[in-house]
Amino acid sequence: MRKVLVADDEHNIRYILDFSLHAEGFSVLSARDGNEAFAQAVEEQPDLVILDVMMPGRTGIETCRALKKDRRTAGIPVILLSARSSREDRADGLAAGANRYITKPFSPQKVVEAVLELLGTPAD
Amino acid sequence: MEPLGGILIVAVAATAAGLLAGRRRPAAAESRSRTVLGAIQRFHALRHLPELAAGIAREAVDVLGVGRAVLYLWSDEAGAFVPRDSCGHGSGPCPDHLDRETWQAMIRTADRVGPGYLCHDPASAAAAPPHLVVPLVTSSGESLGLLALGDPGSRGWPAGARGEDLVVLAGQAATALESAIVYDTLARRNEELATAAAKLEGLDELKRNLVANVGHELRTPLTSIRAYTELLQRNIADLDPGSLEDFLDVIANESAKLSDVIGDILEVGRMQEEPTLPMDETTDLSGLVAGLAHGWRERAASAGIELVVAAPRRPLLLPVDRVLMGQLLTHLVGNAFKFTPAGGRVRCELAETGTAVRLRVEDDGIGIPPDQLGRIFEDFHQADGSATRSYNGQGLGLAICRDIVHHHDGRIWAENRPDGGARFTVLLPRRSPVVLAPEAAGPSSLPFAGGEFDTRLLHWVSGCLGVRTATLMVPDDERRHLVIRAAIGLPAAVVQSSRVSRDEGFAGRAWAAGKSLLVADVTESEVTRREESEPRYTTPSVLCVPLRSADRTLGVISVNNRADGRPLDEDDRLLLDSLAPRLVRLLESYGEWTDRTRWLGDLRGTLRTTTPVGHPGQETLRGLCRETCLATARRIGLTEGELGRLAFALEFYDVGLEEVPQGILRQPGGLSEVQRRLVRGHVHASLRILAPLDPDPGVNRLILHHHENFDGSGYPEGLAGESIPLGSRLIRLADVLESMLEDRPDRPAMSLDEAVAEIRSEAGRMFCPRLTQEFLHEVAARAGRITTLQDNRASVACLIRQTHSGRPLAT
Repeated sequence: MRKVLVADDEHNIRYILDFSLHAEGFSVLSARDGNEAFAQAVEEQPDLVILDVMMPGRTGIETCRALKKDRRTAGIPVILLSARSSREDRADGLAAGANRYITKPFSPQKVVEAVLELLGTPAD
Repeated sequence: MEPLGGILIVAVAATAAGLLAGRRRPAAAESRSRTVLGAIQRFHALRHLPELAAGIAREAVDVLGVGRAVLYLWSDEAGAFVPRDSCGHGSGPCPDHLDRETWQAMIRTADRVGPGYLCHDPASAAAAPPHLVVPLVTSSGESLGLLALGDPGSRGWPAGARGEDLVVLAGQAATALESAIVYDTLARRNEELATAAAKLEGLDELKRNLVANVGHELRTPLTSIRAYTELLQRNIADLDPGSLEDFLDVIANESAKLSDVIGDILEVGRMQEEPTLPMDETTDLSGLVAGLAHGWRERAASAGIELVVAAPRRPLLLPVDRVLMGQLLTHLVGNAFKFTPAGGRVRCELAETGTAVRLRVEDDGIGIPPDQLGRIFEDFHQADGSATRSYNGQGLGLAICRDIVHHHDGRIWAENRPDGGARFTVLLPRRSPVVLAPEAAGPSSLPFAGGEFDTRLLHWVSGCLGVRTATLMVPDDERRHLVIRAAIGLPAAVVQSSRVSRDEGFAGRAWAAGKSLLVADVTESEVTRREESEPRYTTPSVLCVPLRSADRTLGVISVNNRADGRPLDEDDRLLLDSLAPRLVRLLESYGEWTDRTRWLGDLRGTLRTTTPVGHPGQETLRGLCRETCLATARRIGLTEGELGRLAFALEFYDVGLEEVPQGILRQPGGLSEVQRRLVRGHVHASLRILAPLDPDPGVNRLILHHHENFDGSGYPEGLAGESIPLGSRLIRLADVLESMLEDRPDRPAMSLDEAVAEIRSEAGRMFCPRLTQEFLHEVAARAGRITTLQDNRASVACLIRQTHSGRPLAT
């Protein structure tokens, strides 16, 4: 079963992503801040990581950069979620190595579609 | 101005033509007229007022053949004619200031010569030669100035044909002056517009940041609302009633949060109208509460909650930031509403104790989980779970409330009420003006001689608390007894004889226990029976607080005899407790500063770059950075006075910096307006704390600007380049170096090489390039000591970690 790591300091967001991804057959790990997310990514080696940008401690952007820099996690696709939608913010996110930058408010369905797109459907 | 210039030239030509034509003149007269014409054309070519003034005086001397000419212009500011320029050799005094009365008096008694008045300077000796003073009047009759001619020489005063030349010259000079003045005004207006435009750009930037933050604040609750709605839409057939209810609750709660955020944003919008941080602002807290209460009542009514607001009817003035206080109240009361169900009660009370102002907001709602009570004021604190209060700050949280209270040197705490609900209490100290005996401040670089610092410190404490007697006792050399180092409000005999040992007396007990001690009634205390060692009390209560730094006690401060005659109480103790860390910092800084100035005095021009300050073995990073800064200052040649001021500013500039702003600075995503005010306010806070100690205004200036950046991107005023005081530029270097070489929560200490490289790369942006070079030279001279210090600290830190992890220490 494929694993997705979801990092967001807000319980509601973690819950809804958990719910939606479970429905699609993924197992979901969760983290509450950037440091926890990085540690879990290294240890659990998920297939994909979803990072909220505005988190305490390390931001999503910093965590993404760290993940992409570390050999152990560099190959894991990353989706950034953020309420900051300006072109500069999007550019920053993608420059940090994110594979996708999704703005909030987001549609859970769209997030799931992005995950499937990046990982391929199970049949592939 | 071209068309007007054209008209002038025509007018000039017409006048000149009138002179030349119509009468038969000898050749000499013709050439003289041409000279006049030439002079007039030269006037009109000069638009710049100073040049024109010089030009007029010069032409007058050349054309009229007098020895001296002085041009006066009317000045509205001075309310008089003021000399602007002159030409020719001086002969005889000329008044340097002619107001209308004096002028009228002069011309009343003067003889007329042509268009001018033969005047004697009223202030000069009777034998002094007169001047011929010609008024310069525009065609509209406005008297712009005066042309004073002196020393007519053998030809005498201009009369006849020369007199006509004078008339023409004077008239044209007046017209030329008129246009030049208009140009001058235009130029000044342009400058003002440019400044205003720059200010607007600054505000624009502020607004852009605000918009970005606002966007985020609004989108966060909206995210949950949208996502859960979508979830419901897709899955409604498959969800069990429990989940259904949960999801709908989330949507409802987030909608309410969204509504709150919008309210907060409107508040912030109102705050935008006051971009400056006034230092001496006094706010009427009663008025503020009354104003906010209107909105509260509406909200209470619609929520079915009973609201009680108890505040004094008359104004309650306190030197606090009105905007920040408004935010504090709004948030505390808003929280109370949020966590109180319909039918419940919220109470907001504002009261004065003798020494402080107390604000209390309580409700009978769901209360605070007991294990969270100590932590709810932390940044990003979040309590998970459905029934508990979640203080996750969206926009303004309790962390900000704490920041605001600490910014004003107050205390805030939360407790649960015995019959349910929460109670938040805020104490804000009063700060009465401190009246000090005027000490003769000599020209020495030591602002505080002898015990002056201690005395002022005590005055400040007594002002904050409203007491009449305060003493500072310090341990003697053997650290077995406390002796009085400074006291106010006590008879001298008592001061001389007072000495308590550890454990004895109230101060001694406070010292031994390491905690503050409040004795409500000394007559009931057995300790009082040892009266020969105690200062005498006129009212029966006393409060002692030990001043502790790390593990050492610097001293004990005792206060008693409240000005209003009532006994000291718990509120006073809490206040003094909250002031204690500030006092410790001040005393420590003062100690280090006296050490350093002694070192500076020893230097006497020679740079002893390897002499450690203070005691070897107790070298600190802070000490090293400050020593480097002072060595740089001496190197570039600051005077003794400047060095003394810089040394003082170095010790005290960050006295206003609490741990809190670090939390704000670490926060991702930019600062809200409130946070920005708090961060910038720490500069003002340092100054405010020092104010009762009355340091040199030069010191204040150094501290005020120590956070400006060379490129103008700093605060509080955005000064740039050389307009930033030199000492402030140096403090900036030392401050940043120190922070780079320290461990921070979000990054470990940099190596010296990294720090130096970073500083070098910031030359021109954060730092003055010239000073950076000098500073880094001094840093290099201390490289060995700095690296040793860092290595020692690293080993100690490693040791501590190993100890805590239980792993055996490496042998």
